[in-house]
Amino acid sequence: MKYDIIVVGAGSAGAIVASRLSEDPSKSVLLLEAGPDYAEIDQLPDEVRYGYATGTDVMVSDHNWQFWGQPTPRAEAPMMVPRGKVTGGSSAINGQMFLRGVPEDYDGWAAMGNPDWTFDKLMPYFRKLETDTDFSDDFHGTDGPIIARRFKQDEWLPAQKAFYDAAKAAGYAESPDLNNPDSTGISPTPFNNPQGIRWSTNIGYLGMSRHRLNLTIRANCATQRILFEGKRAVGVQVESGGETFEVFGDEIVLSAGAIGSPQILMLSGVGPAAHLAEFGIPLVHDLPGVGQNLRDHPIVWITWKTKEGFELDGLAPRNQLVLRYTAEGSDLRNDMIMIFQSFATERVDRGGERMEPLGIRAIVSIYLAASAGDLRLTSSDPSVQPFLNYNYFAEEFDRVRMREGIHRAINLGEHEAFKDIIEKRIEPTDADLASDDAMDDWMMRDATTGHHISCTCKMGPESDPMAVVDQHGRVHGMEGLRVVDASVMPDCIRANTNVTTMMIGERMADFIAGRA
Amino acid sequence: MKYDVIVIGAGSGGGALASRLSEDPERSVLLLEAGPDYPDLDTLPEELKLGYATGTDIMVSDEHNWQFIGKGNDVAEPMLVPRGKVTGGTSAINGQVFLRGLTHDFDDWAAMGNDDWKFENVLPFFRKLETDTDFSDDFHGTEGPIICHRFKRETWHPSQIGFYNACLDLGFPHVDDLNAPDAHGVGAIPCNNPDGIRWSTNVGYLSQARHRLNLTIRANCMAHRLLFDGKRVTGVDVESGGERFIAEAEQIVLSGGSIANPQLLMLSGVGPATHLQEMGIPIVHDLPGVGRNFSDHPLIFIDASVQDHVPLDGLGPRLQVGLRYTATGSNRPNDMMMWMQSFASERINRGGNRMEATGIRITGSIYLARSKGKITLTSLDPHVQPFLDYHLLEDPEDRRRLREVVRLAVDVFDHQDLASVVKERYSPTDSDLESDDALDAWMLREVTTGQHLTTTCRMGPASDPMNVVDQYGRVHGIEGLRVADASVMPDTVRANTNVTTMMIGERIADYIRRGV
Repeated sequence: MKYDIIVVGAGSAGAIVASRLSEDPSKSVLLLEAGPDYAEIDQLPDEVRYGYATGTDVMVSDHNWQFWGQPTPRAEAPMMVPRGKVTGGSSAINGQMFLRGVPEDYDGWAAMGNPDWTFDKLMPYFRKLETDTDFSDDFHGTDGPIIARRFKQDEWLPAQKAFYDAAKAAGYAESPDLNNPDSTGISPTPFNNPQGIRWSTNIGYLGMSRHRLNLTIRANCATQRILFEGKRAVGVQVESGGETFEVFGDEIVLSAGAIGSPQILMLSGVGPAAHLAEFGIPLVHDLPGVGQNLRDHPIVWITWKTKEGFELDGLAPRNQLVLRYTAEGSDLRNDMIMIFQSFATERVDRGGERMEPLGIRAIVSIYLAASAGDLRLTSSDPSVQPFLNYNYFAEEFDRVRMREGIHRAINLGEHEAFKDIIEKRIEPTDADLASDDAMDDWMMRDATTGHHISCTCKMGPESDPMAVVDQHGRVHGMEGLRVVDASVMPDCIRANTNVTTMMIGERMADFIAGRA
Repeated sequence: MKYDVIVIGAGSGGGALASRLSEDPERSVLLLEAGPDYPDLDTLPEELKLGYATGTDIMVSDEHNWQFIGKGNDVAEPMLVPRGKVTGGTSAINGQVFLRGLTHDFDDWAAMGNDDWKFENVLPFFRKLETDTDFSDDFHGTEGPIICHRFKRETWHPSQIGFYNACLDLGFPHVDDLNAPDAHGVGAIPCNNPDGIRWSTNVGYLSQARHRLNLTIRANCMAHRLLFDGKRVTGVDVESGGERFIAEAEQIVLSGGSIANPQLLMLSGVGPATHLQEMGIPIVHDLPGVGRNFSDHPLIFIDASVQDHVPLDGLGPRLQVGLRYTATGSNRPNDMMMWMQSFASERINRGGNRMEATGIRITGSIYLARSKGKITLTSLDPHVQPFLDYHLLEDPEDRRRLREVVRLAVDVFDHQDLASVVKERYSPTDSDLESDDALDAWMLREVTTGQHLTTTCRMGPASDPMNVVDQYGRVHGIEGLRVADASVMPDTVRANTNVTTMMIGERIADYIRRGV
């Protein structure tokens, strides 16, 4: 039996591709997911179902691949890299920040040889995927599968209110709708967690399509490699229940994420020739860009101990507002983001526990970093994760912006709005802040992932040797094979990546269906 | 997309058959089930998982029981006819009596023009399907998917012990293994409920097959109509999630059971021409035997109250010991059965409740009745059940034999070995027993279904117009269409029908795999 389309990975993009393509009952779609599947909200485990109101930590959950990554050459230990391993993918385990990139992000992609990805052309897809319960205008959707909302002012926790007051006092602007193209400043974060339920692509998309007989969803199926006839992808080899199966399709769509997609490509013989040779993987096609151009949002934490008697509620929403701003001297609008966490804990891998608070925390992040890393195989065994070299702060521009961001956060924390909340700063220490070098050293040791790994199968014209897919997701040099997920972003975006990944799923589904 | 085989109904026949067919990885199998699916024991609802130790009554389970209503005869009130609507089918809701048909049964089938079904030919399939934990010999399997055991004598309820001793004293032989060829007498009933778990074809078969990529199990999918190209079946029109889909295949196997198979065939234009015309259904093929020869095991209850000291445990096993014997003057050996029930309750449709004891009960049953009924459509809507016209006890020989078993049961209740258990036999009353006419009148009112519906798509050569399928399960006059479940039995078997139905699934799967 041969499916029309096999989609590998039921995540933020893959679930959408499979849902949209199966709207045509004449198209048979097989959706493969390495993790489990939960057909209904009632069956979802707490850590997947609840956006914040759960004591179960998704960082150590079975629904998380629990990868490890190298943040910088100076980091003393690898960092935890959570990625969803369940239908819905990382949209089923993420922080639910439902923030679009700025128009310049997408216009930048277009300028890199992807003219179908201008912001104007993408707007219909951002609209199509969402139901925004707060705004309905030219920029918002009212009947999409993913529900977005913002915390109302009367729901803000005291630390969020203080963040808002301090930021306003510092002169930051305010944009009630941070998904408006012109937005900037301090405002309520758009979240896809109505009533506290994490509205993943499993809930939103698969929920409306899983009954279709032409859509076959197979969970607990780990794709090991793509099968080729010459340069044409004809199927995939899948492990299920301890056995190996081959399934065939006219077209294979990799939506395994910025880690899984390049790993599967390389294991299948598509990637940098010399690197594949190291692992004895027979070369199908030399594509030097596979696994390169690894992008993320590096983050650092400024943590304060709170005053005796200040209430810390681990089951309450931990962040509600976000500050989008442009770094001093940067010509990249909104290239920085800061949020305040009303409940901060030590990292799990440093002995922390989700429900044991340290105090509150500012998270400062570069949302358009200049530095890039790479992803490399460490084994030809598909169950061994590739090496994730994030290479944060390799560029001075990133270090400058992060140092400035840290100072901005500390200044906000020192504003009188926090006087009844903050007792003292825990980290960074005054010594860490003593000089640029000291700050760099601290950052390089303590920075961690913003969980927005992307760009490892860069989209671009064939003339760019580092481009992996064309602007319609087709793998260069191959037939019948596409990549559709965050890995195709040519560069990262100035926003949390989930909505944009969903948009990529919507947009590519139209390309695949020949509708665009 | 076109599957190699579509199996309609994941029950006792279909669950076994689909599982076996998918052992060949190159064969794609779609298994459609109208009810829900539970992929592992942990997710099974109690009423399905627990063979007896549950207070939840499967008779009134909306979710897992079709809850058909049948007409026993002109006198009897409408009777509840439970059939499983869940993966595992009726094997997931039944009484777990794991009793094979007799050598005579299969030799009779062979004599009716199905020479491939003589006992020595079906024995390997009985062995293949079971793991008997009590007997391992030429007649038993040791590594089949369905686990069979017998309650050990030390676990027998006092009523079972009394029943056993009384039967011995009345001259019936002791029997160790009621699944040995032509076993008769009184002994422990083989049951497929190890540790109290109802070992359905879902638990036994699908669990070892459901990981296969070439087996697609789709629950909550209701077949509406078969699709034909001339006299060749090409697919099935299926309702799923309120929408209609078409699934196509090279071959279709109907395993919907003795009610749904003739219903679906008739709704699709295959059945008695005059009846289809009456219903306004375009005729694809005139097959007068569809829905005819409807057989069951008519069942009668002989009830007694118990002495105060006798424990009545609604969560204990209710069936442990049974008697198989030949009715006086019968030319069909071992045509009768009598069971002891350690906990009896009033029928639900008479206001009873599973956990409210009325006492104990002997059930008497004709296991090879002469009376046959028929199934006819009452609506073109597949959701409307057909008319189940049983004609129970229509034949005088059936009434004669049933009178005998009632009187035998009365003798058992009156026997000294049950004197310390029985307080008073109250149904039938002494006046019901006064004469054959009085007893007939009582029996006609009280008789009900043994829940062993068979033979509505009878197997046999095309020379007999009342045969629906040939001995390989192929529907006469139609290409690409088979039937594989209890509905193909040429006549019922002198045993509870579940094991034999599983054997039919195994056997017809083997024909398909061998290209017969």
